[in-house]
Amino acid sequence: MRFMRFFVICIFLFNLVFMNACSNKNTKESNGKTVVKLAVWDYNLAQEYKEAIKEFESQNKDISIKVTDISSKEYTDKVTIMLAGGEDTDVIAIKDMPSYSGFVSKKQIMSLDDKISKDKIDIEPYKGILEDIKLDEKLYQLPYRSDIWILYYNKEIFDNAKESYPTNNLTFNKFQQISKNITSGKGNDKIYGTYIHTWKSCIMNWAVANGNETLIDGQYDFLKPAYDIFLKIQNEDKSALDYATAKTQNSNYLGQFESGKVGMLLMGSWFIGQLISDKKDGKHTIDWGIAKAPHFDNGEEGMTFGNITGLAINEKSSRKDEAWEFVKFMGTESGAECFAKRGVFPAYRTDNIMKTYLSVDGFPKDNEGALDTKSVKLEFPPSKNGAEIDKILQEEHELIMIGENKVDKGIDEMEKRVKEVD
Amino acid sequence: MKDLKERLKNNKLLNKTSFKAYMFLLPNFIGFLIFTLIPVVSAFGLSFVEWDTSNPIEVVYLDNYFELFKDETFKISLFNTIYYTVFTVPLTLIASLGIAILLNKKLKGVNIFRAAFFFPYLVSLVAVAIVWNALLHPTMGPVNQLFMAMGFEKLPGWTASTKWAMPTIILVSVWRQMGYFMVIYIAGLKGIPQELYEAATVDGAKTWNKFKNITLPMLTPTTFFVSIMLVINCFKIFDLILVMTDGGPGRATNVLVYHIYNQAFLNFKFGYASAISMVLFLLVLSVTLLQFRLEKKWASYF
Amino acid sequence: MRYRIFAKIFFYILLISISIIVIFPFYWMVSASLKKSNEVFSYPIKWIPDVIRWENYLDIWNQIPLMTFYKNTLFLAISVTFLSLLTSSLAAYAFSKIKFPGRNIIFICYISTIAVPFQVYMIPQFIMMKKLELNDTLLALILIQTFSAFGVFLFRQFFITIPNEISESARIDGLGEFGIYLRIVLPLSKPAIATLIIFQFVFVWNDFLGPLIYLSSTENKTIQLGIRMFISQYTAEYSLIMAAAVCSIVPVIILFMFTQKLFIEGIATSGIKG
Repeated sequence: MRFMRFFVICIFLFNLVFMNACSNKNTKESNGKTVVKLAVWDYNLAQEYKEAIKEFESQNKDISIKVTDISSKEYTDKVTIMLAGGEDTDVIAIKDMPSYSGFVSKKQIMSLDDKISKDKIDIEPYKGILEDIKLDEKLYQLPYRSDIWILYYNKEIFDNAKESYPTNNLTFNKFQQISKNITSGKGNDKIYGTYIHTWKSCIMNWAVANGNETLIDGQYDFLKPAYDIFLKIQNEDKSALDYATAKTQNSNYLGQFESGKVGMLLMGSWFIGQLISDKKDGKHTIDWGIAKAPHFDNGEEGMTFGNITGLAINEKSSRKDEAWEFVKFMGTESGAECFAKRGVFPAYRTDNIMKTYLSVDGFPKDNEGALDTKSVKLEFPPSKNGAEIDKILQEEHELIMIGENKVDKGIDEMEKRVKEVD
Repeated sequence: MKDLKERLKNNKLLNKTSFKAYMFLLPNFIGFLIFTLIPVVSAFGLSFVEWDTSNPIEVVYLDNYFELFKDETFKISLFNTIYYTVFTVPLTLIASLGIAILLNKKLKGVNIFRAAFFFPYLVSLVAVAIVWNALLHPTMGPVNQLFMAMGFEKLPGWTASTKWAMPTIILVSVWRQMGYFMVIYIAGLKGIPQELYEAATVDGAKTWNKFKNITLPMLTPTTFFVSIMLVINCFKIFDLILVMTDGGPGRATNVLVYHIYNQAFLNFKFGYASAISMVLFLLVLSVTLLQFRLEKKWASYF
Repeated sequence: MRYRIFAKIFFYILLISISIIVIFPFYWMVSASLKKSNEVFSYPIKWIPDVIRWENYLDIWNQIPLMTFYKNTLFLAISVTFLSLLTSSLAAYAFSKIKFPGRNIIFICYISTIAVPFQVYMIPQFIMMKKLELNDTLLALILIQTFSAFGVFLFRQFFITIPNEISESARIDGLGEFGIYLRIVLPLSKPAIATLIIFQFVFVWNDFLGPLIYLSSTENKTIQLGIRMFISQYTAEYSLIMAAAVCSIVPVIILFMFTQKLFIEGIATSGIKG
């Protein structure tokens, strides 16, 4: 009998909660405005995003933006599913080139060329990056952020080691030397000269920046000089945390640099905005500076690589015009202004916007030339098999870094495996 | 004539009980059919086509299966999955049964112990990964430092080496799952009538004999359940690997579901991913059928 | 007598030492949640934080809408657990106590579906749910999780151990099948019920992939989704991540302690009647 009572109570409870859940559903409708649904990752972190959206909504009273916030690691999976289901989202933030190529080949995002020419958008301020991200001569995303990789350094560590600050014309050999010089201490208190994050791009792409090869070519001999330098830093000088530790501890470049235990860090320019806002929030007290990334002996000052982040429109969206208004806003003058104000490097760079960007409160003032470039190579070019090649390179990179494979063997493996990708 | 009538009657009876059985099944079966079976069957169908979730489906018949033979990563992941399963299943089985028997006694504080053993299953996977990777750090982790103090020279590299990565995953897996299956075993042990033991004690049976002749046979259905669930869980291992090693170093811990996941969500080859999962499915099915046979044999004990 | 006492002491020492090893990582998780983030990874491992920082938990509370997540997850977990308890015990009764044609085939169908990885069929399933306009509702998750084969399988295995003579004699006494199910089989299966409650609840509570696919709006998100979002945003703040992880499992621990009572009752009933 006790069981009957148990069941009755359960049914009662169940009904109570069930009705509660159903009533949730009706609150979704909006008030006459067109709702444009936007999928982004780590929305809560991106203050500049929130501000830009607010600004957009105040300029376009008849459109409201509904954000679907997704954690960055699962972002591509979730978007894949949303797009498979059809019209779950109108605007999609594009996180990386492999997934961008995937969406294009699946015909899930629309070509923006007509819209761009119809609205007569000036493409000069994009400084040519639109060409880099075209697939089959067509553009499927409008970039709003365009980052380049630069060198960050912790002034206090340099002062303590009596080493002069890095300059814009650093070579990688010099970089390795400095890194060795400023390394000191042991155990928990060890100060490392640099930190090499676990991404393959942290090493491979310096070779890419130095020449005309890309990571999808299938020939990888050109990577050797980059590996030689960084393996020397990691294994001989021990002036960087080793890959195995970084990987197994889930190390994060942010935490590493902000903890004040890393002298130099090669990272994308998005880190500028992050360092500024974290300092404001009291998360760190590092006195930091920036410089151009180092180059190889046979290269030139200002050769670097970059990442592009843009917005795309769902091919199945029924609100394409409104969605385009938003994409256009974010990718041009007004959006760029919002981003620049927050220390985020916008893709749309007019002189005015650059001025705003460089005068952000907390921006390191002593080296304004640090962001000038000679050439910016795309981190990973758009390609049909991009995701597969990307994965192979990361796996082989790992084996080289933990010392299971010598560089030559690793490069052979890369070439062999990439050849098998159809 | 009479014979036929008899049969008809029997048949009717059969129908009546069958009808009742179907009524019992119905509430679950409808939901199962719509929300699980149909999607699963359609996934089976996907293995004969090429599909990227968006472009029109293209029928390729057995091409996806032929593709398997050429795919080196598939072979590696198949081997890794079997490697993992072969060690994890018996270790977990023995550990969980052992603990269940220890904790089936009437002891003070037994609840706290049971909870303690169940905790690993509850700890968030992110924490599991961080904690074990910290404990097993090749040079600074307490485990290797202990080994060093004991005078060992060649220390295992744990998740940072291709050779040790899989054993590490197996170790963590057993640690994580044994409490889970312990709960099932305890429930199974509770179901054994005490009179059997009392009668055996009267007959002067030793502890070991009681265990062999009463506990083990009476636990057969439980063991059957535990071993099938374990085998399936092992073949489907994914989450733990994702957080501990992400399939690495290199491809050292790349397992079938990890490969399936990459093919589907990274390369958008849903047809091929389905074909791989059919291999997984056949593996599980054959092991399950084998165990079914064994259960029938064991079941004759009672 | 003395031998017995020694044996008992030995037994306790054994148990306690195994438990410590087992619970070690859990302890680390709690202690990390009370540290400063940069202390989490110091070697040698600090087992006791220098300063206990309860404010980590306050931070979590302020950063994420924990109550909403709890409410959604609790609703999901209770509904799924209850529904699957009911429907799968019924089905398992048919599989174990009634003979009918197609029994084995249907049962193998059930088990086979456990063997297919969710990653493969989740997209067909999602498209179907989308057609039923159930995406971004908690109902969708209830429907896909309630009717999994796991519960049926678990109950079947326990029902088999209940001797058929008991149900036979009840049949002779004029009890119908449903009566046998309700009055005899279920009360004898309390340990199994407790097991299913724990497992289903924990499964739904910890499930991540299902909610990730089906839930999009923040007001619908579950605790695991919420925590994952938090982790992805605060990758460097390990102490906060651990605090969030601790928050996420407290309700499950409470449930586990509670269901332990059912195990103890199990001894009393099944022992006597069996």
